[in-house]
Amino acid sequence: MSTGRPDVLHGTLALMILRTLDSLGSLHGYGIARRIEQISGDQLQLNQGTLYPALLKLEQMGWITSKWGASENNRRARYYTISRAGRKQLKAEAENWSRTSAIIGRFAKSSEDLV
Amino acid sequence: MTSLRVFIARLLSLLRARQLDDRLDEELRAHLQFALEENMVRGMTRDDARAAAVRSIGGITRTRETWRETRGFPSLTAVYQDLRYACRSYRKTPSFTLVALLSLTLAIGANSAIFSLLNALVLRKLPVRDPSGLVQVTTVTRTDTDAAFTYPMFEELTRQQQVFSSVIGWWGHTIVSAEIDGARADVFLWATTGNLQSELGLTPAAGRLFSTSDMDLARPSAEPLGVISYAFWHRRFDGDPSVVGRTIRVEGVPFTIIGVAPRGFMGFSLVTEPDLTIPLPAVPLVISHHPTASIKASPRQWVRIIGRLKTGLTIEQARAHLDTVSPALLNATVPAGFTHAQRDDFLSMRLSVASAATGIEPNLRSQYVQPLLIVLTIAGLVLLIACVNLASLMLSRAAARNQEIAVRLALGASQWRVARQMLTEGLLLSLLGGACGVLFAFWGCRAIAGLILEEYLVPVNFEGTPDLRVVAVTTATALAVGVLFSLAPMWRVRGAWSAGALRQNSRAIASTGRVGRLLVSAQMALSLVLVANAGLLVRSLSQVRSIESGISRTDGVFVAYPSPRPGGYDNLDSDLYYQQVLQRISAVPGVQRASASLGKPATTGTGPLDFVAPISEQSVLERGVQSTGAQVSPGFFDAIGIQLVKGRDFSWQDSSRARRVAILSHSLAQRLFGPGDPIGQRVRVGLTPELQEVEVIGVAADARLYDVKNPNLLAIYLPALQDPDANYKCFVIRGTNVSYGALKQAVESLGREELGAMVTMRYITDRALLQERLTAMIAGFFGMLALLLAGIGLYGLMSYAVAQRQREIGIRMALGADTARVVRDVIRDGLAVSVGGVGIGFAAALAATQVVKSLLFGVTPHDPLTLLAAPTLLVGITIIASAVPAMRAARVDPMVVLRAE
Repeated sequence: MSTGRPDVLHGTLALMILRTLDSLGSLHGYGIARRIEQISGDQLQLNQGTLYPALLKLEQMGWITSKWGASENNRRARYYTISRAGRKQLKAEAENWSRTSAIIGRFAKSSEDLV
Repeated sequence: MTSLRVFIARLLSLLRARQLDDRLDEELRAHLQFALEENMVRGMTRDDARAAAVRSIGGITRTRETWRETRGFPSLTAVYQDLRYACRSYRKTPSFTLVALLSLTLAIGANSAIFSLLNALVLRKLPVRDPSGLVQVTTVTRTDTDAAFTYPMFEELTRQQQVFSSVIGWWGHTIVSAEIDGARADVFLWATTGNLQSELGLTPAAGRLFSTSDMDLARPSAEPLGVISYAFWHRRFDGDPSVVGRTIRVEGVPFTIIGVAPRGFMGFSLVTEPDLTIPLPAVPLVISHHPTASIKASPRQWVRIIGRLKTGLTIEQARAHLDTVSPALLNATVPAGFTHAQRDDFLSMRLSVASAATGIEPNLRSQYVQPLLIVLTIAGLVLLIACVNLASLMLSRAAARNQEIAVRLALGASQWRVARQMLTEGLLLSLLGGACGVLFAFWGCRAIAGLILEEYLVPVNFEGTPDLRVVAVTTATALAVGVLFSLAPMWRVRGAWSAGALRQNSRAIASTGRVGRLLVSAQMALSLVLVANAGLLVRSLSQVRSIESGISRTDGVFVAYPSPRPGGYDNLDSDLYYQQVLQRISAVPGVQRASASLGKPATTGTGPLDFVAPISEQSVLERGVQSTGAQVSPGFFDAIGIQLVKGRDFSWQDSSRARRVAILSHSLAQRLFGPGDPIGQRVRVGLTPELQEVEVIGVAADARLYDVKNPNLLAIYLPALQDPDANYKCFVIRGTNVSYGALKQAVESLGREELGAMVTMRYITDRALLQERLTAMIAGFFGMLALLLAGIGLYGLMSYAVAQRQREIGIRMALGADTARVVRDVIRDGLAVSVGGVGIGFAAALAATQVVKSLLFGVTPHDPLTLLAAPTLLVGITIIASAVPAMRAARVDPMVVLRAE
């Protein structure tokens, strides 16, 4: 089942969460998980439980905040919101990531040329 | 910044761990519910939807674990778990814990206590500004004794030297009689130059301190000023700030108090705080009632010198510089009126320089540093024994927990994790022991310092209590000890994991037994070394005590110390006064004989030394015999109990106006005059012009007058009446049931002196042996401790071994073996363990007893009695430690044992 669908790359989950919260505002854990899966076009296999420790970590860093709230069908859930520091971090990481991926992309291409 | 934030967040979450864990559970529940609903919306059946939701969320346990790790401090939490586990297992074995903790407390505490004393005595720097730059300059005479400077020498040195940024002169300490608001008090006095207090960076507690201008007492309007100590301020004036400006009369001389020294300032001493500080030039006013100007002419060497090295200079450079300066310095300051021989003697002096950073306490140091170092070595040995003992106890404890360890390993704990558990347990124990040890040290150090300083006549303030350095050293020791004795059980863990370990594995136990035996043997060896050394010290003490002092019947001999009233010695005709006061004392009921002596028996080390030569010798320094000098009144020999062998005692006719006479000790008479009759011969004593023709009138038996360990065989006694400097004396009285009150009244009725303490001769001798008593006492205590630990170690091992063999013993008993036979076998087993250790220990002891050699008196390091007794003692302990568990095992009903299997 896992073959073909890459695991979430180490360190990128934070970026995905921050981006999701940045574009959608306040969201609960399940919403974040579904959104990430949708964006990746269901290409990514997210072990949804691992999301929660990651969220706690981001909260400890001060990049997101959380509080209890009610969902659309009146269920109690914890809602996460990105903070100002989180936006700054997102910007930095996004730039960093596109730089890295551009470099890696170039390598990937040149190796195709060599073949 | 972020990492600090995370740290704080994690720290806070430790406080609401439960709440955070609940939050995760609730979020996961909500998550599952959302997924379930969405899946059902997509058209799955309820069961399929639930299964898909659970699948997508992944392993919940794993998530919880990661959550907890993120939330707190994973490694810290593990340590906390280990600690809790350790506490629980220690609580389960209270007797083991108690024994372990007690032995650690005593062993670590003993080390800390001794180290605290050494720290206070030699390591701790003076609490003044930049103590490292302070050096002491002394003169060294031809006989290699350190001495002070004359005042002109001090002035000349200050002028000529180029290595010190400042030179401080001081004098002290002595007890003088003072008058405050009409009330008389004994005051502990010292004197300094005006730069001392500013040079040491002192700030006054009240008023002001000395400046250089306060020293100029030659000015017509000058009045002597004084600074009192903080303790004295509180003792006598209740800390009243209006004390500044009041007058204190010292030996009748008025001093105006200008200020109070800072709290705890003790000059260069480590134990005594001078009550009153006066200007150095005021000393003659107080001590000899001479005018200030007389210090320029006095040949007395009384000024002590402290210099502050210029920045960047070393003590060696200062020494070299002073060596080049000293000849000119001495030449310029030869006191007027010196004879040719005295001049030669003066010019032969050298200057010596030593660091004063840790204060100046020559007597305490020379007496106690070396014994303390030796005692510290012994204490270290005790610690090692305790360590080995604990290692073997921990080992058998680990063996008993064999199964538990195997289970933990089987359940997936790493070997390191289990070994860490052992280490945690060891460190917990040793740190607890260390903490208790510091408390023990606090008490022990106080007790020992109290004993050492008991005889001080002034309030003492010895900062011997453990400081940060001591705590640091103790903690380091405890950690090292903890690691050391955890090593053996940690090592065990390595081999514990085997398929068979889950069952009771007897082979694993056998291997423990081998290491355990080795440890117990080592412990026996160390204990033997220690017991042998302790034994020697105790033997030495009893030898010192049993010395024939030459003073017969010290029972019934008292020594009483008088001190002058203010101005009490003005216009004193000592010829008359001695006779009067001794007559009054003799009239006190119970007194059989009363006399006076200028030297205090059994307290003054070697006593004052003088060269004595027959009158035919021209150079007394080169051809003379170094002898102990004592100035005594008529009746002294009779009172103290030294026999007169030949000739006569001093009489009241041998006064200051009469011909100079002397009594020689038997050995000195032999040495000077051989078999000839010494009576009527003439001798020279030292360089004093008046003593160049002294007639021998008697010969006394050899006696240990000053130092009980050192027979002052060569001694010369001179009449006290013929000594011009008779200020310090004591009364030596023989009698029974003498009332102190009556004695005091008799002395004070003449109006010149007051009577201070009165003690028995026996007490003085005991005090003189304090260092020996202390060393023997502490070493003896350590010896006992070592024996106890060795006994516990062996007992533990044998109990364990016997428990393992319980079945075999049961079978043997069932087959008809008798108890004695079984017990004998176990004892033989125990002896097999200890005899090896005792053998090695014996060899080690032969070498190690050299350590205490310098402290021994009348006993050789290879004293046969001690070297025989120590191993016997250990073998005896082995037999007891083996027999007790063996008897217990033999008493168990064989059927019970056999059924248990």
